[in-house]
Amino acid sequence: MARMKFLCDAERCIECNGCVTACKNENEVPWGINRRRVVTLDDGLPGEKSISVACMHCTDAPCAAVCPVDCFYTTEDGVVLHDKDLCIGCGYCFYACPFGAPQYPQKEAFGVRGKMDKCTFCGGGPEPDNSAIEKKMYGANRLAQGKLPLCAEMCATKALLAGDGDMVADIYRERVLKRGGRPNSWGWETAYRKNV
Amino acid sequence: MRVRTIATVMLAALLLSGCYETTDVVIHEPGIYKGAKDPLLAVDGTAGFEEKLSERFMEGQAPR
Repeated sequence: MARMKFLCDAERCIECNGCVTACKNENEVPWGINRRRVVTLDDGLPGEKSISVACMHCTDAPCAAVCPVDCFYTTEDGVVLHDKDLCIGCGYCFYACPFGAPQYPQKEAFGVRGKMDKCTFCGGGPEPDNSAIEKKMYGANRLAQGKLPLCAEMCATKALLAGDGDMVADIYRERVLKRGGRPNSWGWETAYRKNV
Repeated sequence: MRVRTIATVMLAALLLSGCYETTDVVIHEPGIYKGAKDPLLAVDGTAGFEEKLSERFMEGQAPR
């Protein structure tokens, strides 16, 4: 059984924002919302590092744990998805998420939040696969087409990897062995815990 | 006159019936997802599906 995971290799990320653009284009994410973003650590200082961050599809996801209407569900492959018909836009998941993944696209009167939007690992939502309504509400469903998230597939330096966690880890381990230094699988311990 | 009154009442009843709003609500139970079932879940985890994704991963993301 595969366990889908994201991994961003900070040694390879060149902050080109290709992943952000690919995500926005593929999922037709509205203005002002980024399901994925590139964060630069120690910006402008020698040894600065960039990482591409989105929903990490956590094991025992904290967003799902705090959701008052239980609008989250997890697929067999560990992809955390949600139902926008159930979401009440309370914002609890935003506070619980260690990666700042949940986004709220609609700005209504009196600061009311709209339905939460986040990375779906290009897996759409509970609507019929690749239907017009699914595309409009959740974006593309590449998983149903046998494809992986476009952000990772578009990454020019292959810094961002998305797929079966074991395969991702094997590739990263090989890279670290080859180039030396210490591994830094950013966010993995937080998202997937040490032994997962 | 009476016919007109009856016709008005019937028309009003007909128009008001269009104002019906469904009162079905999703009753919350802690920790249980009660939304629509995702069709992806039916194929997710099957051998063919996993194989397809593995092949895709090796095609696009494995070192060349």
